[in-house]
Amino acid sequence: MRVDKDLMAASATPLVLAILAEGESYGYAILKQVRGLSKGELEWSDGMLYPLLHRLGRLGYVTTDWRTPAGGRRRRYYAITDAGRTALADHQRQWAVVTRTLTSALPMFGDFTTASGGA
Amino acid sequence: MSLESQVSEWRRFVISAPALNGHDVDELEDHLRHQIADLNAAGLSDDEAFMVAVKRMGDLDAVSREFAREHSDRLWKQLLGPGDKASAAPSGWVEALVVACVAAVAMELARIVADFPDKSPPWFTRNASLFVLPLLAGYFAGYFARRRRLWN
Repeated sequence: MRVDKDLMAASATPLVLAILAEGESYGYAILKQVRGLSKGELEWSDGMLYPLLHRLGRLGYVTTDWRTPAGGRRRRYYAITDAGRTALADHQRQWAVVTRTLTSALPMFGDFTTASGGA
Repeated sequence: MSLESQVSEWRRFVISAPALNGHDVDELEDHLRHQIADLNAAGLSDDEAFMVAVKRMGDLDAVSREFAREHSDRLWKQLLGPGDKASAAPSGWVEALVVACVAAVAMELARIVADFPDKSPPWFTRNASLFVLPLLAGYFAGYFARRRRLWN
């Protein structure tokens, strides 16, 4: 299913913050997790993840440092900050309101949070 | 072409994008190599894996614009555009020179036509501006269109 661009952009920040809340990570691993969590239904342009990560850094939601893992290439890691966790909680509340409202406004779809593809 | 040379060619292309610095390109390259390795592991050849990985990276212009939006301190690079900045000035001069020559010829023509046949009403002389102004207007229209493009 194709997810609308605006919706994708709006959900990208909480999604990335939620993944980083589980532990520090780097670009490619984050993107793989997004693919896995959405079962391939959220397809980002990979390159777009990086400006987003840099924005989260500027906002103070993540910190970043370059490290070289044993036997690997130099890589940039991202870790969530307290401000990032606060922002994530705020996003979570906002999305809860939106999904709750949509679920009651669209009764014919039932609980749309569990609806898949066909709708 | 080997995978290594494909990746370094890709890198040369990406680093030419405005608003991306060396660190950004390092990060994107690390991503590309990861993606290629995973696709290799899934059974794709080097060539196929490279093509798919580059495609998944997305449109470079769009990515570069996002970087520029985020790093507004690098925005000035956008003004130069993706092309070679050195070529901008000479082409502008050449264009101005061509317009000047065409305008000179047009004025000369108007004078000749006005003098011949003898005693004909100097319609062309009186209306010389009619021949020259469109050329100037065309030149400035082009000039401002280019400027606008640079700022967007």
